[in-house]
Amino acid sequence: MRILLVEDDAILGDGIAAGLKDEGLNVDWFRDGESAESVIRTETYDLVILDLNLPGKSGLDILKAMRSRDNSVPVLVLTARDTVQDRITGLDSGADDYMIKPFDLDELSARIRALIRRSHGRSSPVLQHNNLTLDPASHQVTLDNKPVTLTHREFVILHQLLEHTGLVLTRQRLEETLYSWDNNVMSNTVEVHIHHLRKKFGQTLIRTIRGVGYIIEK
Amino acid sequence: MNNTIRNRLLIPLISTLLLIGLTTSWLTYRDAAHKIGLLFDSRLQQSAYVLYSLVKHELTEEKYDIDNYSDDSHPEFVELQEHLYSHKYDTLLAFQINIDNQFNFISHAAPREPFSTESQGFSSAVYDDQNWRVYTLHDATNNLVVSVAEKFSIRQDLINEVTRHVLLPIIIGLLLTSVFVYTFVRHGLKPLQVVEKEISERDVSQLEPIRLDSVPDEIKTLTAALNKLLDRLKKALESERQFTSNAAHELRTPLAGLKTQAQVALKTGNEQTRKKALNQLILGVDSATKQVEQLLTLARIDAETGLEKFTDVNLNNLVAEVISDHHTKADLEKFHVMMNNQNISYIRGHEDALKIMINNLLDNALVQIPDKGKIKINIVKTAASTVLSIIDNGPGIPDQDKDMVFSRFYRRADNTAKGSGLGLSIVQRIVELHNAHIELKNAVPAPGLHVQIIFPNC
Repeated sequence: MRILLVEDDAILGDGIAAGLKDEGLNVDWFRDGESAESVIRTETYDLVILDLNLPGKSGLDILKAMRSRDNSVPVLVLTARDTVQDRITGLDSGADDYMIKPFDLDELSARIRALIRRSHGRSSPVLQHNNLTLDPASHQVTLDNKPVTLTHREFVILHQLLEHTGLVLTRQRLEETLYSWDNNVMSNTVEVHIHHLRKKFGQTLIRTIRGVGYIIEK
Repeated sequence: MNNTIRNRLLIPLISTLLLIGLTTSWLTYRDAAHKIGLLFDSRLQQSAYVLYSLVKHELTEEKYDIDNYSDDSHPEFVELQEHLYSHKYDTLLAFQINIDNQFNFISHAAPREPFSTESQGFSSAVYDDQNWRVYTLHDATNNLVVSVAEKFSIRQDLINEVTRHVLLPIIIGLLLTSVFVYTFVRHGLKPLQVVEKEISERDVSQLEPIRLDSVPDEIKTLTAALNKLLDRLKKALESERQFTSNAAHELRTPLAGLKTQAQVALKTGNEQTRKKALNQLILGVDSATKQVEQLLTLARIDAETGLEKFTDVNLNNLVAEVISDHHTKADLEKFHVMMNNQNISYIRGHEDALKIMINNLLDNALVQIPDKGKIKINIVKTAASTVLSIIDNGPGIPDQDKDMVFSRFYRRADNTAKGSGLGLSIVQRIVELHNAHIELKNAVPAPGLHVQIIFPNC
């Protein structure tokens, strides 16, 4: 899962990024409104965590601009403002959820999972595909009700493919999910992880669409 | 007596009225007494002459009769029949007719001794415990003395009566005037009471301007000035409220950071991540502490409005003190202090506040400059002002951001260094406190920021 974090406070931004990375999420962190705005226009994210009080460009402006471009990525707003009116303004501007600082890190990741799940049209927290299940919260993967051990990166790729069953995900998209955008990715690593996944779940689960990417059929 | 406009008007007005009344009364009384005295005197004199003429006529025409009469009964005195005088003044008027040293005729009320020792003209006499006014005519050829007397009380009664009649309307007039003066003064001052009531019934939440439509012109300027004050007060309170709310919210972010880092440290299985989170936690506490300190400083300086703590401060020494107190040796090499004359850069100011101001500006400059950057500090005194300049060779501030940087909690987008967003707000507040003026300019040569603080010379 690839997440954009926009938070200007150094300590808080660093904490959220570290906490979410620990949960297996990939976090791109930006500290001002303008760079966040430009990265939202060019990159694809599964979720945006947006602080409202930002230098440069306010979080609400970024949110409104996103929604006016029909960008439907779930947005979780983080803010220090706690009045009902502030919350209403935030939600009406297109936020999907709202957390008031200071918040609990576990609650934040739970809400992130819920938002991503809902954005993919699921109501069950556990992803299921035939005899395969994946629980994003506990990082548990089972095949025929037996737990399967996956590396962190294998889990991330499988999770991404299962979230988007029926869609072809490009190798670049999977790479971006895998690593924060400032890390260098060896061009064959995605293939390596796919190879390992096929060993564990069989050759038919993940299909290669030549020249485009990978897909798990619905 | 209260020092009120009402009293200031009523006391002189009513005293003046009373004084006029008393003077008028006294003058009227004196004038009446004088005129009535003259009138009565001339009547008295006339009576004497009439009597004298009659007696003289009698003497020349019927002298024997008198002689006979005298011979017959030898009366020394002849009292006139009472019925001749039935007027109410009969006991108040008297006459004596003395022929050849004998009192031949006296009136009923007259004494048997001469009224007066004066042989001729007006005199006063006391008889029967009464004061009398006497007029005496002496005819030496006929050895005839005619004295006419009148009790003073007659004219006194008349004087009193005349005075009473004249004074009564005056006194009534004065009383009425006093009542009117009192009423008009009260009425005239009513708008003041209205304004007073309107103000005294307010509390701090009611800072709307006083309505000016019903207020007379004289107080309009006063209420207008008051309205300006109310407006400033309202704005100050509003910004205070805004600031408190902002400050409370601004503290939530560092607190959230602390909590998040603590949770990361608690949950992570990675030793490296834990160590980093704990280090960040410490940094976060330091940064939050600094923010709280800046907030407290700002609150203290906001409360500082009086000039009582102002002293003569040597700006040069202050800069030197701040640099030596707050900065490391590595920093020291970056400062290039240019002071033209130690003795001429005295300004009137709040020493502690000025130190905070200089420290904040130097901190900002230090954060901005590159590794081998330089900060120039320059103090110039001109005829009108003392100018403190701090010039760095950092990236500077774009023109469009120059006003915004003074807003509380404002942090510029490219400001990667952590700050409270309060430093320049504090500087600006201190500048205002000194009636000084701050300007942000582009340094020459570019890039860089040139902060100029202009203190007016007093």
